[in-house]
Amino acid sequence: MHEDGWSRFMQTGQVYDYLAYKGHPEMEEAKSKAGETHEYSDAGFRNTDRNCYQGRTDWGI
Amino acid sequence: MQDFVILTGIVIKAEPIGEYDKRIVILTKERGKISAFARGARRPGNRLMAPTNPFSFGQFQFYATRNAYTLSEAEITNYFEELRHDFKGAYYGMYFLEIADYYTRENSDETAMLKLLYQSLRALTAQNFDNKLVRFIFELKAVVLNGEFPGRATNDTLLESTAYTIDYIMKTPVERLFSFQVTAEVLQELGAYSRKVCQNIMDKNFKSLEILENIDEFVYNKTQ
Repeated sequence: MHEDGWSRFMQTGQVYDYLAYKGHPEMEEAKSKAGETHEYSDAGFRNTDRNCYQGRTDWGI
Repeated sequence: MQDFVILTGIVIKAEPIGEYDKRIVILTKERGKISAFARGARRPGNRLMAPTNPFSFGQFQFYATRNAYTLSEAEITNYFEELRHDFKGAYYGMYFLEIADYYTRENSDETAMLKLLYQSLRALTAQNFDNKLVRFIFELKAVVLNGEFPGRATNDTLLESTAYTIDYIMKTPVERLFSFQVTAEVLQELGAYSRKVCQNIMDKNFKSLEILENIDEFVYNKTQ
């Protein structure tokens, strides 16, 4: 979604997120690889605290 | 009964919380830097989705509990949409937001910093201003506003125009700050001076600045 693309770029600050937001043709292939995109979700400015807590919960289970 | 407060400010940071919510940090005129929760702001079509993006400036209505603010309504007067179409401008804007986040505190009067941030973002969106000049003005004025500017050393070997520009930035109110241009030579010297001051004073590496400098280096190498 258009709005989501901008939010994502503002969180990560990564150049490829900006290109994806602008719908750059070379980003089409990368956009379809959802798994790869998520691998980078903790890069840049995103606060990772939530993921840490999630991790701890998972270990408990 | 819940107490509502209406604050004027600009969103400087937003991050996802839970499945559909966001936690935002807003620099406000009345209460300094505050953080708040925006419930459902990541749900498609939610009315808080756009106002909770960084750069959104306007009036925000919160209800305040004992230890947190929750955003209920927002009336945005400027989204700084132009930055979405200007790749480098967006990074300059992010850098300004990072500095604002670094310098401001909760419950302190941050009116001057808010004004500086707003005017600098306006200057970034203006076509007739060099983004680098906007950056150096913002950096130096932010240091001045926070009382950390050491003053020009008497043994600084600066051009007369550069020294005048630094004095002008120091003494001029934020509203009239973005009203001049400088030559390429002065801009370069002003940049070196600003970098030196920031490196001495700010004990943090700003990620957006790192990216900006990498982009500049990349463009410089491509043109050589």
